[in-house]
Amino acid sequence: MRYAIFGDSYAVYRDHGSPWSNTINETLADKKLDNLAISGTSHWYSYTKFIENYKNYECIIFCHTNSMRWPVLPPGEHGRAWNIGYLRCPVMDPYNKIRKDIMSEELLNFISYNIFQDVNRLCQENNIYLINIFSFPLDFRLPRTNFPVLVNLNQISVKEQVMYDGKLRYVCDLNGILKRGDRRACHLNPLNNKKLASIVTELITNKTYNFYADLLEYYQWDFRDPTLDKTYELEYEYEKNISNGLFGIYRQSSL
Amino acid sequence: MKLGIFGDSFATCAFDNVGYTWPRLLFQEEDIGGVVSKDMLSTDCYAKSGSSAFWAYSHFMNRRHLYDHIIFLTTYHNRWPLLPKEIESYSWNIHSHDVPGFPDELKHMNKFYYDIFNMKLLRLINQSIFRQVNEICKTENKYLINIICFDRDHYDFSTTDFSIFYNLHLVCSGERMVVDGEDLTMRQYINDRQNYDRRQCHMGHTNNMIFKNIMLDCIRNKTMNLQVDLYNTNYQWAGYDRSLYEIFDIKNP
Repeated sequence: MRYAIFGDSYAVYRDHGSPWSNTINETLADKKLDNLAISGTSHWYSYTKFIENYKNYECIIFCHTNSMRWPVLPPGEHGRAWNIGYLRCPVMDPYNKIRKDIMSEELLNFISYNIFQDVNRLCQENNIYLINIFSFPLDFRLPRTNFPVLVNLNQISVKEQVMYDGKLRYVCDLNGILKRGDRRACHLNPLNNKKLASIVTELITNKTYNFYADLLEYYQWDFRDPTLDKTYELEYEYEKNISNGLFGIYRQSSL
Repeated sequence: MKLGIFGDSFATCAFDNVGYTWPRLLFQEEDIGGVVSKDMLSTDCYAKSGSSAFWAYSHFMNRRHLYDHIIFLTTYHNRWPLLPKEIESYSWNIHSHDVPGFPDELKHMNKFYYDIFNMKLLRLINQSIFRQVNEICKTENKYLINIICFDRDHYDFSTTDFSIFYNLHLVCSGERMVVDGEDLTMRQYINDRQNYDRRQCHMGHTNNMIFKNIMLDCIRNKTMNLQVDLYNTNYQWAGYDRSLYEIFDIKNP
């Protein structure tokens, strides 16, 4: 059986941090899993990759990202689709300036609704087993599907905590302050990556249908993982060295 | 029977303008409504010149509960799906045009159109509008007629039992006039000579009448499963129509 994953950073391949997709590739998929997810991309981008490739697979895991992202951007800029005005940036600023005039929640949710429907229809018609994972809270009523649907993955991500500078902090808050990106693979700590891998593996192994779960409410998660403390300990050392001017630069610490 | 029409300039029903429009003629039929008031035309014929299919879809979603019969016109996909209310009738214009009255904000936005939309996405939007309107009408037990204003290339007609009429634009652009001794199609007269299309629903009186009759026949017989290429069928469209000279104010035709 050949497997594929489509989606954004919640599914992307990384060589460290034990991402759930790697675990599935090592265990269940016998290294026959193609990970076509790319960080920061839109629902539409994942869908176009799906359309180009879905016929090559018997099992697909589709991570549906936030509907509000820019569906299309110029070639090479697809990884910036997440930036709908969160961050000033010369590439995105011109688009974000006109965004309120040309995009609406109604339009973007309409597009996502139909992407979801099309992905599920095509898998059904082509006898491909599909697992739907929604990274973000749903903004639209889901069309009916027999395939499993897991929602609210990001709610686990935002609840994860880490020890930093002797204090317990939410990882998302800390990432916002450090501004060096999320150190977690797929925005989850290693324990939760493992947990998600086991949930997905079980669904695939049992070929489960007609299953809908709010991931946060339905399963038990570890919001603290000592392995992640160690990762952020290194971040702390790095930040301290910057403050001490060891790298030849100083930063006004906002911590 | 309560009929609602949703679409763009192919169904725009201006009350005060000169000439017949097929929606107005349809509403005048006794079993459709029998009376045409200004108010009725603005509320039951929800069509705006230059708007997008998504504009028509949004109004369909908000107002469909008022109707048991719907005529839904899906316009060309390559338009701005959404624009601010005050310029939404410019959705068709995705290129900057240095003509008087063309909104500056749209000139600016048009620079980015092909960065943030592509044909595949725009087609998905239109296909999905078509599919959802048909699904909703079926579920809610409404009688629907689909008009695809342009060609049918990317629509999957197999998903519906409701009737579909396409290529209306070819009927419109195929109308003819003799101007200054030259025999011109409307495409030539309007596009090549850059004249403004003043025809109601892009058709002369006769073709508006013929199109009204096609719609009326379909509604009366509750016809299903028709897939009609409006241009390449046996309908006797008027090639030349004297009303066109009046509409375009051409003397001594």
